Amino acid sequence: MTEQNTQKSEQKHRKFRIAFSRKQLCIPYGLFLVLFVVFPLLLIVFYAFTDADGGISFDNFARFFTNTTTLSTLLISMLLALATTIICIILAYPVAYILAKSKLNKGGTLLMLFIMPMWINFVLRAMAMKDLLTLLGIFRFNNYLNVIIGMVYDYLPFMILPIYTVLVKMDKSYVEASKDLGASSFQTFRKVTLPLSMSGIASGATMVFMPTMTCYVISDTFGNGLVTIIGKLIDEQFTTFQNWNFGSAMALVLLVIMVISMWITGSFKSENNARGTNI
Amino acid sequence: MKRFFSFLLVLLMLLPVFTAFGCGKKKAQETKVIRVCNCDDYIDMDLIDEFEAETGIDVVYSTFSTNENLYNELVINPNSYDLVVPSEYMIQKLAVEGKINKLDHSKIAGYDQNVSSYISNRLKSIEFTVESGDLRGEHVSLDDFMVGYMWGTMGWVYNTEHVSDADVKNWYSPFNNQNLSDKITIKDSVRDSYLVGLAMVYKEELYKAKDNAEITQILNRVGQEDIDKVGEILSQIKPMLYGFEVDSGKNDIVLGNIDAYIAWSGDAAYAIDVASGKVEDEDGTILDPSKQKRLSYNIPEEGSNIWFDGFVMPSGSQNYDVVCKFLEFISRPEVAYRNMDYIGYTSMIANGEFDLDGEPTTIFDSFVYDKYDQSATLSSNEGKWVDLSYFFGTDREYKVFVSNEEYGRLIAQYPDAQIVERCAVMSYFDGNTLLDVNEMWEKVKGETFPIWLLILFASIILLLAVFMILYRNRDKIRWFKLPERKRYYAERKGLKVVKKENL
Repeated sequence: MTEQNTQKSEQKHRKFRIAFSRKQLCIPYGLFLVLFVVFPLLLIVFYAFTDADGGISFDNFARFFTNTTTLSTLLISMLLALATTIICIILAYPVAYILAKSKLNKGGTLLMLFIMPMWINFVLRAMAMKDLLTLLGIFRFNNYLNVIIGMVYDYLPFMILPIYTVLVKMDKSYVEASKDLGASSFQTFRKVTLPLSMSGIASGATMVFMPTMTCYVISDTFGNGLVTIIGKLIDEQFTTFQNWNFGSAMALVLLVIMVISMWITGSFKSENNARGTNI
Repeated sequence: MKRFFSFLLVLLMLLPVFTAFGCGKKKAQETKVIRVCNCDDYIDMDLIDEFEAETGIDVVYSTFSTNENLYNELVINPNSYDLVVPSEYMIQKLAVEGKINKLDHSKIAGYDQNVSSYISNRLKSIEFTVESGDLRGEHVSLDDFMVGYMWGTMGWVYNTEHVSDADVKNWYSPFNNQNLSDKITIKDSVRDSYLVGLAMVYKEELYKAKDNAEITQILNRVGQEDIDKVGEILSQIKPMLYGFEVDSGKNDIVLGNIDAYIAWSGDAAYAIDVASGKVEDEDGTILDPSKQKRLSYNIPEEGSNIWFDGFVMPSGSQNYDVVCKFLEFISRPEVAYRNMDYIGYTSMIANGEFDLDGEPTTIFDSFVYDKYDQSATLSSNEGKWVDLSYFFGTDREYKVFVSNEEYGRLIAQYPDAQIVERCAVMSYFDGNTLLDVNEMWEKVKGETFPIWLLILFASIILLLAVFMILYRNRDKIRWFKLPERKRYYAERKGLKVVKKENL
């Protein structure tokens, strides 16, 4: 009788026991994700497909795609972002290459020098850079040039780091094999090192291209308000023109463009696991 | 046992919620709290401490950056503040939409006696009908809702070394001087730039306008053709601009990057003082004497904007008596004096005596007469008489003889009657107007490419995307494999594939 009782109570206990597993450690992050990522995203979708009175409408998208000014602004942002990305690749690749090969960089000392500026607030850095450019006298040529300089300055570390990580992780025996088989250094670089580091470049490119399309703090600071990018348009809808619906629609269009471009450039990245190497 | 613990844990987690509910109610009864939301840098913070010490009321002080941001906050939560400080057009919008309460001036001791009657009359002349809320359908004036704080105008601040008085006579005139190309900024704020555009477009009509009502009517035109004309003229002056700004203009003109900029009067006073080395700049340093320059301020002849910022009480707030105490404090002449001295804008408080360094004085004496009057030293062609009795009242003489050099600085703070009569209050843009103005502003600020160029770029991007997709799936598409397949079939048939050159 007593034995049965204890068995029963044990069974009962087992029923109510909370089974802790590692999966449950994800719950806080899951909650965070739902509250601050998924929910706001749903809000954006909701606003984008409604009008000021709350009825369902596609006017916001129609307005975006029929207005040559908004489309031109989108194009300008894309071109600026493209120029910034290309210049960043050209500047960052040699730096990352040298850093990865350099013996001085044991323990990432040199790398630190490139990463350190990122610890300072970027608005502050942008202001300082503007003052410096004014002092040097190169600020007066062209506002678009200024913006590109500012963007490159700000996003360069985002390009250096992924390329550096890929190059450091790369198996050196490939390079040795290529040299053993008689390839010159340039051939080795072109046929071995560069293809193997493509994933780093792609990863860096997404990290530079996407924020530069919307980073209007830099375009405002460096362009004296004469360069308008798509991020500024979105901001004005929320702050000045009280049109949350149109602003959300623009944000959604941008989101779709980014997802598509991610999907397209994904072809370079699948081969290597260097995705996600960032700061 | 575990169940018990988890229950306990849940209770423990909920504890703060219970206590918060309980204490919140108690606290509101014990110590009084007032939540004030003001513009950045728009009050001397020492005054807040003094108010707390004097009344025992806790002030929860926060700031907002633009009227529109404040509006968004009030839409989301009408009970987030007890007092906010928007500009007159936003006050009107909030009142029309029933988002603010009326403020009974008779409950605020001293306000009606101290405030400039000219200003309160102008506020009373702005009448409208409330469209929703408790006061729906009621015909009211702006003065019913606000307790005045600061006011000012908009005009050109210019470097007297490079810009003559004739250059800034009108809104458009600086753009006629080719030497000023790339040396001018205008406001990156659609309301201000729209008004400037209107004043440029309807210059002749404004000259002919007889009274303030007519000027106000012209400077509030929002028809489609008016918006188009403003867009045209703003696009036309854009190539001559150094940039659009809302905050950096005062630094740029002090540093000499620009020679003229459109400024709100308080910023103008600040820029003039910093450039002449009279006050410290934002970093707390006095400008190097070699870089000092004489700036001046001018409100163009055709007319300008006059704005009023005031305290209003959001409809969600219930703390009427605390609000009245705070407003009573902030409207005292000595508090107004110290606030003006600190932030550089002009208070709507005009009258009342107070002690300054142990001597009784008034706002007119301390801010205008003692600073500017040179009637004893200068001859009549070296200066001008400025009569401010419209603002301060008629109980005594409010006239000052100011030197030509200092005239601009004085009117940045206290413009004379003729100027103010040509300044119009601009009401808010309603929903549809906002859409049209938005489109115009986008066009002015951005570039507009011809449609074929857009189509060209779109097709390039599309082609690129198609190429990338094909490239990505190259293993799966038969067509790409043609050479290899040819070799495969040939080998199966026992033929040998030999390259042409090897034959």
